[in-house]
Amino acid sequence: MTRGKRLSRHFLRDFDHRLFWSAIGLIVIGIVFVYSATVENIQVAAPLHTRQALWALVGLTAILVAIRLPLQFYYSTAYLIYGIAMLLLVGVLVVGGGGAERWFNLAGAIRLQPSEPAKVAMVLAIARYLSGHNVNFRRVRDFLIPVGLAGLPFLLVARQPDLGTALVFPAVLLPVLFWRGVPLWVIFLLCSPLLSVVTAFSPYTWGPMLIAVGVVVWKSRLRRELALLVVTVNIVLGAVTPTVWDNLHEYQRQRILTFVDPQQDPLGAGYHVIQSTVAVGSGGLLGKGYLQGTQTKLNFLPAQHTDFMFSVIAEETGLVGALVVLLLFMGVLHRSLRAAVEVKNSFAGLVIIGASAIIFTHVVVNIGMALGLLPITGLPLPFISYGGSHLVSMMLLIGIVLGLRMRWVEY
Amino acid sequence: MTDAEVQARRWRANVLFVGYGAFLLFLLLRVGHLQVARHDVFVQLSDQNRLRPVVQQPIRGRIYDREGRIIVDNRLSWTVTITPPTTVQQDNVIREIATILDVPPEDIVVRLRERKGHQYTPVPIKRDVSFEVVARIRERGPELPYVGIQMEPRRRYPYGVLASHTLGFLREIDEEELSERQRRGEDYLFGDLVGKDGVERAYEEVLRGEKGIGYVEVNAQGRTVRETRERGYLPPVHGNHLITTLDIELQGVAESAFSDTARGAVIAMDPRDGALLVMASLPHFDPLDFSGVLDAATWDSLNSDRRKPLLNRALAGLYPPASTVKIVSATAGLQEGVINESMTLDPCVPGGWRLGNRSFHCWKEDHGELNVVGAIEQSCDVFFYQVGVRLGLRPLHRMATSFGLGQNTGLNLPGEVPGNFPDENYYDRTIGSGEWIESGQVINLSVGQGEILATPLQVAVMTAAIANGGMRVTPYMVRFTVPREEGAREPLAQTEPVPLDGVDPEALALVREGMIRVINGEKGTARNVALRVPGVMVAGKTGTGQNPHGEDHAWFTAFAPVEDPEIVVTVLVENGGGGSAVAAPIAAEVLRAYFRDRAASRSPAVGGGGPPI
Repeated sequence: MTRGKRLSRHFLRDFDHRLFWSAIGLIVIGIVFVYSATVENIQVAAPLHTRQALWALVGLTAILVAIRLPLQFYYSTAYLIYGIAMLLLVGVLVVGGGGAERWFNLAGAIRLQPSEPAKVAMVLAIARYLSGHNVNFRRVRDFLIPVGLAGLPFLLVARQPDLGTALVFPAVLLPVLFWRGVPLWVIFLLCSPLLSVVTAFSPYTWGPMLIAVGVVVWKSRLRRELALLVVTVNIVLGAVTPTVWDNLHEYQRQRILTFVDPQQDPLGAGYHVIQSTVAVGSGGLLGKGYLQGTQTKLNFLPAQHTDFMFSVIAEETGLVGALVVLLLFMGVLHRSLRAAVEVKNSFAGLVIIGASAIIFTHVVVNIGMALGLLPITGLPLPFISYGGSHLVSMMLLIGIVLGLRMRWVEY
Repeated sequence: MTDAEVQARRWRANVLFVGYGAFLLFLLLRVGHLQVARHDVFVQLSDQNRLRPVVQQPIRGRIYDREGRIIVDNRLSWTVTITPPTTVQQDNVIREIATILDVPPEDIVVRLRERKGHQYTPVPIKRDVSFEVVARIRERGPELPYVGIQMEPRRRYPYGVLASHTLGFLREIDEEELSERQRRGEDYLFGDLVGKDGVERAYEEVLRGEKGIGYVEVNAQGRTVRETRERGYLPPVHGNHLITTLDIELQGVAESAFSDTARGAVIAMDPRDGALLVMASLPHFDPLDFSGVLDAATWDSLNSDRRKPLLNRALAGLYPPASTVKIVSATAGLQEGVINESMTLDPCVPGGWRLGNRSFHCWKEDHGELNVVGAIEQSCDVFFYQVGVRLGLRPLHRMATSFGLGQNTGLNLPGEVPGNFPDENYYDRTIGSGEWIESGQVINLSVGQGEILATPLQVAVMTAAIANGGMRVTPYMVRFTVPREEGAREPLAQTEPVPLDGVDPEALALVREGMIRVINGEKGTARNVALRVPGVMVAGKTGTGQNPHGEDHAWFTAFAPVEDPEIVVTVLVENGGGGSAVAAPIAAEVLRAYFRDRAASRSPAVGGGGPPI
């Protein structure tokens, strides 16, 4: 069995121990602090660390399976997996009916959150499309297809409605496109609609934004109709944003408003942000000690075992713990980028970059939220937040990265 | 894959690495900013979240009578409180608790709104709830965040409503007093009980003690998790006890001597130093009516009651002193030399006594010719009209003032009124300068009618001055404080009796002789009443105050034993009728009880033995 031999040889030489153990380190930290966040917590029936540990075992299995699967499997099933994932997203909308429904209730207490596997599926599908030899970014169509692959899950998840999670899909697209050779100024133009929306509320920000778009378009010598389209889109978006604002869900608007100034509403929408920053800030250099976090233990910190795990860790272990967590994430990202450089296969590289982008987006949005820098979106902290679907999806991503890297000689 | 492609990949990986790294570094800087630069602020905010100061209520001092009997003490009671919410709406909680407590939810809402700016202070919602209610609330604990049960000392009155006006009562502090006391830096809070009348009010600072403070850790739902000493703990200083000069059993005798519907007052006082043994005012109120919360209805009904149950008639009820004031007129006449021991004046005959073209009548028009002793004995108006006219207003006023009329007695209890003994200025002001005739006014004043108004306490002080040989006493009721810790009695400084201005013992002896004969003389106004106290000679004076609004007010003021007086008893019965018929029997009962007890077991010194602490 040459294959088995090769695998074991690779395992020693090419298995990325640092990536693997960084992820495991984060998972262990997660289990340890899920315990801290849920023990004696009147909001949950029992400590949830054992369930999280069980999910981690499921995730380990996923890693092992992902490592053993050949590159060809991911490549050939990428669209199929994407299709299934989209069907699940449609299904959860249909089953859910009226209110916000994000889960499928499976057997017993197990619930599947289809937006989690959809992230993996989207990365595979976009990687497959962009790794085709005939992709040429001078053609608009070759932009539109990956944008569409990201846009579909974005729309489906936004309908749930879960705008925070939905925004992950377009966010992941950018590093992937960059990796595929799209120049930074194009990335800027791709982002420009979003930037126009954000800056539209004041002429002092919108003006420079439009000027920047104009300069880039002029310098890039885009085709005239395309240049016109980009400029028009930006102007229109900036103009209609206030109207769209009025039609947002109240809670989304509140979250955004509260993000701007949490003190406005310290007992209502700003409460989460304030309590989270209080938890982090009161942790100090060394923290209040494991299981000693008063913000956590006395329930001042809301959604502590899911959204605000970083705050729990920062409160109980202080700057030291926060540094460890951030370094481990940096290790995961760094090792992923190294893997992307080393794999010689274009599809594999794109998948790995997509995986790193998913992890990065979650980390920044989640911790930014915990620190009062970003609006509250409900995005989990990878490997650490309580939640089976998310943990297994993240570990699957790690498994894929580990596996693809080990097979870099395979074609 | 070409070298150029590999180079390009390396470059892109580096750009992404720098990009990712920049974001994570920014997050790390933010963490550092929160945890290091602003650490102190957040520690404070975190402590504010979880630490609640809890007031440690001092136990109010007890009140004892002179025999060491506890007349006001404390028992523990359960008070249901709501700590106003910080994070949640709690309409449901209010509805729920309203059902359990059986009070309208709106009242609770109003009460929570009244509490201005005292965040985290539990607001009492209902006091003295039953154990069943406590159990129900404890059972529902998790569903009733912010609802607390506090142990609170509550006043207990072993003798019920006895002396309720004198002892006073506790009531929730009102907004005005609260802000005044807080301005002075005192540690009162919304919902605190405070002495509102009588001894409770006058000795509030002594009885109350000082609050302590402790901290508890609470969770986000407002439930107390544990007590903590990390912020220190200041124990409360319990209030000091008071030992009064009251004789609660004698007080009971005095109060039960009144019929159920009667209104009036009784004073029993030691004429040697002004110690009050009895101070009663009828009708009663129940001091416990005020010590709950939401008592507005009770308060209104008592305030609007036409019988004025809240008025302490003993020191705030104003009445014409009527014939009791004749002892002052007689003293003034003897002192000024307008009469003497043997001098008789125009006889009391049918048709009255004529002055100018007016005639002035006596209540009984056949007293005939009397000297001063006989005039007191028989309370002859005609005799005292003449004394008054001979004296003139100024000497009469001077003597009355000397006896304490028209001014506060100096008793340290709230609500005392000075009454009125008119002088020239008064008539100039009310009638008009030069438009009043001195003799006309003096004729009235000398028999205690007209513009003259006095309280029963003033009459008692006046009587005491006759009894003790010319000393004006300042009545007092609280003799010792007893600090809880030491347990040793500390005497309170009392005002020493002062001699009346230029009154000779001979004059007073004659007045005393007259008062003895009121009861013991053949023609005394109170001779028919069974006023005899076995083995004790009593002296006294009746009075029947004319009242334009209804029945006469009945007065009787007495002292005993005449050889060495140790008790003055003054009785007023509002609209009671004649003094001898209505007021004197009540005084007699008090005196009999006093001397019976004294014969049996009284030790001569006040308050024999220490009280139980």
